Amino acid sequence: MHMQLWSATLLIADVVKVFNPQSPQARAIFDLAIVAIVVMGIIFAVVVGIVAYALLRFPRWREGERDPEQGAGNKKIEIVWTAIPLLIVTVLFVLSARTMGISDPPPPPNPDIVVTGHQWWWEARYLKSGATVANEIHIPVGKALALRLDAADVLHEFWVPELGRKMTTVPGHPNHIWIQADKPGTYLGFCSEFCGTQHAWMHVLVVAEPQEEFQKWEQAQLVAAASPTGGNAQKGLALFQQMSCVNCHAIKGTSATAQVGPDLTHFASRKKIGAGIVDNTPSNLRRWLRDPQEVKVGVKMPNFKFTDEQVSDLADYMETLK
Amino acid sequence: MNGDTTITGTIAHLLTPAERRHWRLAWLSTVDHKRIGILYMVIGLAFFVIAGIEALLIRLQLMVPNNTLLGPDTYNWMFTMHGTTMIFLVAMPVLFGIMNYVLPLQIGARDMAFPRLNALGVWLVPFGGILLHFSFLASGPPAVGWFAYTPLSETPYSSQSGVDYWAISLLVLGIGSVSAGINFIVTVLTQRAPGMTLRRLPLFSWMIFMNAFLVILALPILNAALVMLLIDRLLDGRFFLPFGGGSPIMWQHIFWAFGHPEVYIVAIPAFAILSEIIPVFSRKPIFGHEFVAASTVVIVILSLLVWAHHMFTVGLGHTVDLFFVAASVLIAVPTGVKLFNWSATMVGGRVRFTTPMLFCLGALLQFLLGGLTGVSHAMAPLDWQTKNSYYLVAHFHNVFVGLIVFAILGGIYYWFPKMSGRMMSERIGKWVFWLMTIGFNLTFMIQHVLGLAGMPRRTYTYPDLPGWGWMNMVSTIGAFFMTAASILFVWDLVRSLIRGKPAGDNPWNAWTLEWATTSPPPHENFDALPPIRSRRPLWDYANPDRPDPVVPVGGAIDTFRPEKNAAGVITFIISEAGFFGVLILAYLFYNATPQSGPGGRELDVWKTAIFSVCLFASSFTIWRSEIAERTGNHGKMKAWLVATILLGGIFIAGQGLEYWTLFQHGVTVGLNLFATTFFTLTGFHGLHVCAGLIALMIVLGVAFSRAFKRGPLPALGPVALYWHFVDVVWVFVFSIVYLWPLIQ
Repeated sequence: MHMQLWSATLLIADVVKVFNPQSPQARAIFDLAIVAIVVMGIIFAVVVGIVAYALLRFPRWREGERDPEQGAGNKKIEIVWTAIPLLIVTVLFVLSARTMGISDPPPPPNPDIVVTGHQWWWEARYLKSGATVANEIHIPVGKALALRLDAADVLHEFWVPELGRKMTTVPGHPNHIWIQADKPGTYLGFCSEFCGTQHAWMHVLVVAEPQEEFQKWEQAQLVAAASPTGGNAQKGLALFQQMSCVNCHAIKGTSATAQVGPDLTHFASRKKIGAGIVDNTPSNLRRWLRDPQEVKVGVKMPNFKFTDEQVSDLADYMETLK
Repeated sequence: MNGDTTITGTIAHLLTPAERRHWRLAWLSTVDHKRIGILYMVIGLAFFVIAGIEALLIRLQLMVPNNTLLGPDTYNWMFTMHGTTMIFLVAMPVLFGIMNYVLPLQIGARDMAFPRLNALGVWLVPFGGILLHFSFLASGPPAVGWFAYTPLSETPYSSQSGVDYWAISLLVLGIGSVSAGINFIVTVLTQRAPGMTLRRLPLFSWMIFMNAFLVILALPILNAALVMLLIDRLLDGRFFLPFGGGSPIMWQHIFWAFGHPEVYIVAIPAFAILSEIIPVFSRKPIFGHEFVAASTVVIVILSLLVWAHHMFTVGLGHTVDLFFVAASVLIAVPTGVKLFNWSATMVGGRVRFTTPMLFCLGALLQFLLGGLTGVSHAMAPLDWQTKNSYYLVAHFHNVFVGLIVFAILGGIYYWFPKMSGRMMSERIGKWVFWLMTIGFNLTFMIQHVLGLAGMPRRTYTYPDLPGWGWMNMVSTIGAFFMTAASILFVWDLVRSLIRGKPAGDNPWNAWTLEWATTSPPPHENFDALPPIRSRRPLWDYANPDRPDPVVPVGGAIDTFRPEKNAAGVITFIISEAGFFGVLILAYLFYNATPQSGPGGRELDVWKTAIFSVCLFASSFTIWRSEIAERTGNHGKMKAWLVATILLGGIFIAGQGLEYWTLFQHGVTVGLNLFATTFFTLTGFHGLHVCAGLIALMIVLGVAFSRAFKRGPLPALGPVALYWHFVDVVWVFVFSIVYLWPLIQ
């Protein structure tokens, strides 16, 4: 309650996500930030005060006037303004150490989700259930899940400002964080370590929902895609399996099992295409299939130069992948 | 003043009458520290225009959400080139220029210790800069950020030549900077005027002296990182590629072991400028000179111990993080001491709001904020949120622009009269100051909020989230104010150069020696020097009724004045030790765990031991040669010198033989991590032996030349020193590479 009051008084919770913590981990950092802001504010005021005093209290220089008393310093004052900051930074150090423990507790032996950064999308594998998703991570409200962070190519960095610390994903050096949300909602996250051409569009959505809904979602993710019977969608599936799509993508229940690009088994249930660059709408999907490079320059998916009919069939099929 | 009111006429005016006919050549061929200083600044200014345009393009692209002005790759080039250029081709050259101009004058020297080395250093800047920018004409500039994190900067992810240009160019600039650092140290040690003890050095000179140590310690670390990256990229090495055992995190350690001191390498000269200007325009000496001087020493030492605060999110573990939290928050203490002392200097003074003083006041307050946000980054949990966001961008621009650019502008307004003999315009200067201050704060203040709102740095565009659009718009508008200020500043430079008011020797009534000579000073700086008994000789001279208390001479260190060439070689050796230190540590790190493929055990220890004995013996022979030189026995001296060269040659031949055998067995640089580290370490040692051999042969040639038939051969001592160093390095390399596997 106390902390919510803080956020409300800042009146910017909607914009300044770091000051709108939605998990105990993020809140611990926020609390430390408040302490830091107060301490820094006081130091800032003291120095500005000394400068203002110097400028306002003493007369300005005038041409031809004799120079003022040539004081050269004062040892006592020097010791004071060395010792007090030393004391302050010691306190800040202790507080930092304490907050590190709260906001980033040690990881359990087995993570709940393995998140892998790729150029330029996020893969998430739920180890217990085996669900594999892309760019959208669902979590149950109020429960801390352990994330293992991996990278498939270069460095990336997983950062959801409202939920806590960021952490680099390093190829060959798995990292761990906890993720938790106190309230249901969708939290926007970013890749914050520069990772090449489309670093800007490597967003991740963390969807926190009540336990039952989360379980329903997780079960749904495990269901294989149904093969459409008849119509353009069936042609689309055939096309998907004939063309190069299967070299990179997997759709459970079909022959497509490649792990290079995002798993598309439940593509149609996702909110975004291209790790956040456009909404997942029928027209955007068609734009993407016509030429992914036009939607997201440099994305690893090439332009396959599908005909309009092929685009339409593929899109019809993909829209069935709920 | 001559009446010529063209720019070439004015530039020519800075030369001696004899040089004016060939003024272009006179500037190109100069070894005068003052002209080299000006060259540094002009070159820096030229690159400032380029990097400034890049900054404007960045801000234009980010002006509105989902903007398409620049494509992602173009944008990524822009921020990489902007950062690299601003640090290595603007901040460093301009500051080195000011240092080059002012330092010898302030210590009453006629020139730098090594004027020709100084000229080499300045011309390496355009060479490196053009190399870097040549990438635009090749396959495109690097797009990896100014710290080129691996593996993105490795061939599989940056396959075009941009990163190679980047690395080679920084190598060139790094070598130039080390040469300048050596020169500053040796100049302070050996060229001080009589009476100018180390304790009597004005704060500016003292800080530049300290900073030079940081330069020779930090830049070689960058050079080592760069050669390792280049070996990865060009010779299929494996240092930083995760498959094959390399470590991307190692790059970060090495880069930031350089990178954080680098921040101080450009910040300490700014501190130095503030420490010089604030007292002069408060009409009082600096408050607590000794404390400000000592705080600089503490900063230099601590700055070498805080690099991993750039790596709090890489996952080094809380224990390592905590060490670097402690070291990093500690640095706030000596930095705070500086801020307090600058502020206290004004208390009880008669502040004179000239343009240089305004810039320094602005720098003080803006750096206060930048320093405080720096503490917030030092607190790891806060860094976990704010790192790599626009909050960080705002923080370091508060230091780089808020402090350093403001200090540079203040410094130029302050010393321009000395350099040109003419005053800059106070009226235009104040316009520049206010435009710059408004523009800077508009641009960067709001970025703190943007970062806390979640905007990551280095994104070519962003979604239209609440607040992001207008905040970025404000930031872009600020950038235009800064552009206006910059244009006005350049205009004022040109205008003042042609028709500024004549300055006289000491327009600001300042107290240090650069103001004790004409403006501009004559070729060798001084006709006569006032007595030096305190840190403000001109104050003592002008105020015989109340001079500063005499700064007593404090013993051997205070008056330390080593021989110039030996001092030069020893400082060079210190920098080289840093370079080899990194390569040796890398060897130990990468070979600590067993790996598949050949390792140290497969090497032929005994054969190499024989060649090593030759190298060690050559240290003995050159020592004998030195003794012969001292006793005047030229024949013996030459004979021992020839023996040294032969022994060194045998060692190199042995190394060549070893390499050849390894190649025959398919062991090449890219085979495994052992091969990569082995060839890198022994190869660079071999290169140094070759450099030593060339130096020895030059000495031998000189010894045979007519002029040195008799008498001493001063070049022998320093070269011998260097030769001993190369041998000592081999003691370490041989023990680690060849002997260590035997006892394992």
